[in-house]
Amino acid sequence: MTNATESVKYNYITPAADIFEEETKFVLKADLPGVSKEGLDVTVENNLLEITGKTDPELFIHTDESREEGIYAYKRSFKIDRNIDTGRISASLQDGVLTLELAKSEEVKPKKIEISYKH
Amino acid sequence: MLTTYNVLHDINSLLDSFIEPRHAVHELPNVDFEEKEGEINVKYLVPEAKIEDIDIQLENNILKVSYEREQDDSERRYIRKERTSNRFSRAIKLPYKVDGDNAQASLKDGVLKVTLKKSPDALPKKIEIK
Repeated sequence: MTNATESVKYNYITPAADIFEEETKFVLKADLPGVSKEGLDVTVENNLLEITGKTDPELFIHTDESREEGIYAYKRSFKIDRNIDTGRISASLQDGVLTLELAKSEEVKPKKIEISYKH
Repeated sequence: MLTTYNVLHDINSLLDSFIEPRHAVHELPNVDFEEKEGEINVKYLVPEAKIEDIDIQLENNILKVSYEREQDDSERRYIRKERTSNRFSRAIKLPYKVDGDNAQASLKDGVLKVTLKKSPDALPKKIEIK
């Protein structure tokens, strides 16, 4: 079972997530029960933060005919705006919960809204 | 499910849009029950749970699992709140009597697994005709 083959199918689940704001950062917590470090993948590309967590294949095996056979995996994406310094994102995984700390970018300051007049 | 949704927050926030996965969305059952050859495996999804938060009781053929996690997040400034599972209590009636002395439980990566074996009392007995 441990040999990854091309035929491995995944049943994707959208994990529940909390996001809260602190003074210097935003914190994102996502429930990924059944995922260990080896199965976790967090990527930031352009402005897209993508979380993928594959559960241990031994963990949930369903013989229920209504379900397709496959390994359960979590997947969720977020769009990040420029208030976040994408170079300073840290991740930790404990007890099936992913915690991402997203540092606010230095340039976040009160913004002036420019008004343009159209003639 | 409790969801705090503030439009203004959302406009200003970093994580302002959520893109649905392209694949079909399945939901994992909070409790997964599997019976095979006299062995019962029950799995519970308990993200963030510590061993001391969980109470497992076996009485006759009822398996009761309770879980409660202390959480003080009233001060947190939430932009999005979807996670709610900081307590639950589930009782499952087992299909047969199990051997309580050989019950096992383990907790890993937010999944609690309880393994129970059929009690010798519940095994089929051949009755001899005298």
